[in-house]
Amino acid sequence: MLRRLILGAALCLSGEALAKPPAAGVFCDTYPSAPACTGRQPACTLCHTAPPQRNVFGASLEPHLAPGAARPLSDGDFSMALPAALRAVEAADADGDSASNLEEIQRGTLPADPASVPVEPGLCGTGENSQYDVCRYDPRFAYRRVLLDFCGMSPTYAQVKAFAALSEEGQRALLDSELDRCTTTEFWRGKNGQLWKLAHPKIRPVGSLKAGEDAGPIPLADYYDDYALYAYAQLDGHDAREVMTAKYFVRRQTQPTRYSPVTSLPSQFVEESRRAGNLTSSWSLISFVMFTALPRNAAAQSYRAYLGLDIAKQEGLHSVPGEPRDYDAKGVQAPACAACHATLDPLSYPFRNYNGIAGAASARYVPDRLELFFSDVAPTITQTPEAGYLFGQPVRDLMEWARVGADSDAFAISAVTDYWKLLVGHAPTAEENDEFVATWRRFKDTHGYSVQRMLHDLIRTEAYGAP
Amino acid sequence: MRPESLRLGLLASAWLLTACTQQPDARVVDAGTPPVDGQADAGTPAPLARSSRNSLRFKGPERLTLDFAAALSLPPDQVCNELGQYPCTTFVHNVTLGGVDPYGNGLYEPLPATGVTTPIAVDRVALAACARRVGLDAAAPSSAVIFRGITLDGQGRLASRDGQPVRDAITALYQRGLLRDATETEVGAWVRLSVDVEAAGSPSPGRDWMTAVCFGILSSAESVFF
Repeated sequence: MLRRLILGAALCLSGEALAKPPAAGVFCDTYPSAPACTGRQPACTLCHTAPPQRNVFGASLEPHLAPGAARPLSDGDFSMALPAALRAVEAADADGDSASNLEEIQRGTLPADPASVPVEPGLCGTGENSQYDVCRYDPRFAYRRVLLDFCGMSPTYAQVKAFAALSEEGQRALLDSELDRCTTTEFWRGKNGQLWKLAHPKIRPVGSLKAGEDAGPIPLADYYDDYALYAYAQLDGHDAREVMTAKYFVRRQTQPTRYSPVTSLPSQFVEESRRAGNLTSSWSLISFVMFTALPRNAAAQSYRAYLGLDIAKQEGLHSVPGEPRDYDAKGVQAPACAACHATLDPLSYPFRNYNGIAGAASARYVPDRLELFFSDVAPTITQTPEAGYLFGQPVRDLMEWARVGADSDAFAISAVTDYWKLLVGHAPTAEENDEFVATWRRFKDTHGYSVQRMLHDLIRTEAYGAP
Repeated sequence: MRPESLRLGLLASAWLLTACTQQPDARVVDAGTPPVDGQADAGTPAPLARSSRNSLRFKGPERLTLDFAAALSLPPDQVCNELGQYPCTTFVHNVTLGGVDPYGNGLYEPLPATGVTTPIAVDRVALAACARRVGLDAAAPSSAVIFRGITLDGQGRLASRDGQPVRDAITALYQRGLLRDATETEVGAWVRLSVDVEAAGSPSPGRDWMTAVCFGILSSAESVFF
């Protein structure tokens, strides 16, 4: 009811006050139980190849969107017309994969992609299997997986036999204790271990630019600091959000690997009051801000890495009215650009005072940075505000950006998705959605963002432990 | 060509010839090969209940190394080295085996699917590890880990292919590599493999059989997926 009231209120407002594009929100109001709407919104690619071009599903909707009304529709007219258009094509099969559009929406597959189709849960076949119960969660299968996933090696034959002989309760207890033991191993937490592998796409290291240990030929920044903070936030019951919000740094010691928080490191230069975890590390600023006035790349990478939303894939678009302003005169107000830049540019403003590569001022927070270093970029560049928007919500600066992001469902979903892919072997499927949603919600609401406790939930899921 | 290379070449030939024969039992030796198109393997004695989820995962470079090392009681750094010095799994064939190369080549995530050369790399690693284990066991029979007490005749053949030491070696490989006991059908198939190896003209058929049975078990789908 509340959602409908909000939708109704939004539709009564002028077009200027509505979020653009409103389609994802209206879709989720129409199908609130759709997996694509559980804690998130569908990407624009549900209906578009790249906005404004529509895919086959979007094209099938178009004739039903306020037929006869003049084009282009205002946001208000569009939002009013979309639910009826969606219902009008529910029984159709836009992508020809033999599943109706409605079935695909309800089961979490894509109505425009014939390769994305609901899969019937496997049925228990006939025959015997002395090794595993292939119909449901089998602790023996989970036991072997836990040791391989977290310790890096299979149990021994004797361990398998001993595990099988335990009671159900004993098996559960051993699974938990082995998980805790294995997450102390080098395979899990050490340099280039499993946690580092999760961090690679977030940190995006470049060996030739590495400073410090394993320095490259052009040592600009030490990204091992970023790996250390990431790993620390994932381990030992720590709050995983601190990868985005930490005011501290983390030192890594070896043999065995240990991570400990410190207030300063010789390789990090942003003062404590301006720090936002790995978003403001030396490496992030050197690598993602580099020489740019308006650090769109730093914002987009932070959005992708820690909130799981890739603007390049039209994910997480929350257009801000009046944006993009195009302070740096890059031409982003062109319709083909504005669809993404109405989200991306206000996402980037809080990065305006963080320097990338700039000699002695590199990787630092510099008040009036644009005025000091980039005033010749464009006539209006210095008007770029430090306040911006995340998820359509105003944020004062990057610290608030990081806090809002870290507290969001998107952060929890992204963090659990990382582990789901690592441990289950693929992103959550439509069939696994209920377990996935329960896991990230408990990670957020019950476990206080402790990855360690979330992992104990994850290894209990059917997705993980059913052969 | 070095004698070791020649031996491996002959072994590979024998293995290929064996694989090409139409004997039903020969198909049983890949303990982990799943049924094709829902049809049970021709050599499988009884219908095996199949997983409905198809959620198997490939072990990848680190787990393969550690599991092979544990199965054969080898230090991980001695499982496989190209030219005797470049680690097969963590360096030379790392990406092929599902690893990443983040610092040098910007490959931050594993390839989404195994490649056409992945099975070749798995075979290479398994064969190298098995050759090393067989060499160590042959060099120091009193402290042999897998092939303990197996005697060879004057022509290098298994002196008693039905003897207990041969069965014990097969059992050890199944327990260490696949974490289960071998079935009688499987044991019989492996024992009969020695006949094929001998028929292929190997100069050291007994030792090559040891390598072959080890290779067959460690490189099976059951071994490299989990």
